[in-house]
Amino acid sequence: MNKRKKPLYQEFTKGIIKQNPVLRLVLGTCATLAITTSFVNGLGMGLAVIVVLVCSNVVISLLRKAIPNKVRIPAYIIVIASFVTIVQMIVKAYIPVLDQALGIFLPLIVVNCIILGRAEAFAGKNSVIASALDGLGMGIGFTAALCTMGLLRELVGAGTIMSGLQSLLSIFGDHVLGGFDGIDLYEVFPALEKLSFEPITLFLLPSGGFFTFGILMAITNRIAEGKGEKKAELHDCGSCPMAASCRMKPEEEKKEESA
Amino acid sequence: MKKTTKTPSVGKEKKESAAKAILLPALALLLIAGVSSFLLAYVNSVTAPVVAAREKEATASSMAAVMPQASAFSDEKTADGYTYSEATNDAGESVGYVFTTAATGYGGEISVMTGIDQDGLITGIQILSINETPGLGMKAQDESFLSQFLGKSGQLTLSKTASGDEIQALTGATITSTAMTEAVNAALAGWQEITGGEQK
Amino acid sequence: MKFYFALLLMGLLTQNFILAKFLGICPFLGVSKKLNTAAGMSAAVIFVMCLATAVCYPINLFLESHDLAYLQTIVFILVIAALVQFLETVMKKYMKPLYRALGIYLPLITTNCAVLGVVILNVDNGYNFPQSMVNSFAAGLGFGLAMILFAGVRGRIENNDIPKFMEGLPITLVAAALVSLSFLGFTGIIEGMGLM
Repeated sequence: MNKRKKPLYQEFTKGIIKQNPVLRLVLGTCATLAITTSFVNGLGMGLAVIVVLVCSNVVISLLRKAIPNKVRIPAYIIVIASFVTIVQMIVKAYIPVLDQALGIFLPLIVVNCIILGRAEAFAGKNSVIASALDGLGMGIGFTAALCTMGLLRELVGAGTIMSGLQSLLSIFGDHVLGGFDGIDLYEVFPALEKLSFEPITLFLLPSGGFFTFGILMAITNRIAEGKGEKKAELHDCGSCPMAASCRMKPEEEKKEESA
Repeated sequence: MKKTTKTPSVGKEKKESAAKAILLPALALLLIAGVSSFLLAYVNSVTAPVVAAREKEATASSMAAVMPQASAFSDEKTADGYTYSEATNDAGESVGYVFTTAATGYGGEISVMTGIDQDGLITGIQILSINETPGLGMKAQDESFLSQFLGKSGQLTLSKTASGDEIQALTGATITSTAMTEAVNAALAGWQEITGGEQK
Repeated sequence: MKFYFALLLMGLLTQNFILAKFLGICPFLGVSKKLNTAAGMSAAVIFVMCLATAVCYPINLFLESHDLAYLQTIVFILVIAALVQFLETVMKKYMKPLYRALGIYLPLITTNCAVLGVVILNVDNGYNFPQSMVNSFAAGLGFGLAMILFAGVRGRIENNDIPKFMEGLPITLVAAALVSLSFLGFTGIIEGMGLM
């Protein structure tokens, strides 16, 4: 990274921990829960989101003065959907394994609130470089959260670590990272099988997804509180892309007033 | 849709600026959509042949895997519920058929390729696409499950405690196992239909 | 007929959009605090899902017949966004009571992945028009069922003492895990009834 002014550097780092989109802002929960059945799936999804997020942030930031305010949301959606489709086509052509693993959640990146949320909250108002850094940081934060979830669920649910890594890395060559293709605990510790020790498959099922996410959330909340930050809470309208057109909040307040 | 949202709120005296207020955003949107469509069309023209080539290659290698004794395969033909192609050996004699069938599993469709020789025996089986639960249904890809189908004929039955000719279901993945058996049975039925069940 | 019933059961129970497919989690966690908002949101989602399917089906036929299938994602999301906006305007003007009941949820639906999800799934599964419509309706109903059930669960949570570090979102997620686990019990019901 070039030595830039401090604020710019912070645009990059804030998304990774302090404002982690998944664990702090609670955005993009659907993809987080659905595809984190293995580390590799989480990594693949994360990489796809990084590409879309950086590209759309840059383009939207470039166009921010040309897009009329009234139609900015549809315009953002077109830009984002285009990049999602491009990523989808590339994945289909060059990493078919990932295409199968992510399934419908690949096109659904379009409605991932992180991307539209960053477009609305950041890229539409800031310079190109800042937006690119913001997108990269947020994307890496998203990927890190997904990988953590994937690692945990895979370890507990299947007894493997990073299995199938080569199929994802195959775009970079045939024998990346010394051909490391994950660890199968049952191969490393044959004793496990003798003890008829079974992995807890439940963690790979939807229910395990909710559970793992809940525990991770509790841990991050605890750490955040220790640092004097507030808890992660849904309905933080600041991070919601629809905040401008949404009347949920005032409506609820109104009801409470009249009651 | 843009018109309906904006016209009512604008007064008559501002008609000209209203036209501008509608036209300008619409044009901007149109421009963005146009540019992105071109971009997509271009990327598609690059990736589509790659996808097609990859699929063809995958089909070819699967066919060779399920019917090792064959050296050439005819073009795929579609019938009711399956697609098939005839396999021939070096001498150009027919050695059997390769079927592609599908059944619905727990996480969606499972597509299976089955090779069946002249005697109606299964020579090989490959899963073309599967999206089941990792650790449960995904175990259908394991050699220990797939090898059960080899050399079987007729119509197969699934059982939790397999005996004799039955297929042993995967633990905790009955739906996946059922779907696999169904798909293979569809291929076996297809073989009956094509050959009339005669064993040469 | 059998197949339609199977679709209905799948959407409602075994392939529940929220609890098995993880589509529409944001509203599930965000809007399920109170029963009436959960019900309102569900009704709006069912409505938009069916409408979006009805509109997207012919559009998709057109796209596929012209080899433009790669435009699906972008076209569907735009259609949904436009549809939601249009619906809001029409409701505001001509259907005041309905607008008061569902209107506030509409803007949130554009980015609800369940709506785009059901449209894409219909295409991926190759359903014909009536099958797509039934599937969308069933998915919407399933969404509603999960929302309303969960609103009840959350009501209970609020009246209990929860370990401090689990308060808020963590306990909500763990509760969701339990609800999802209970739906696992429906696995195989469709095969068991001989519908598939």
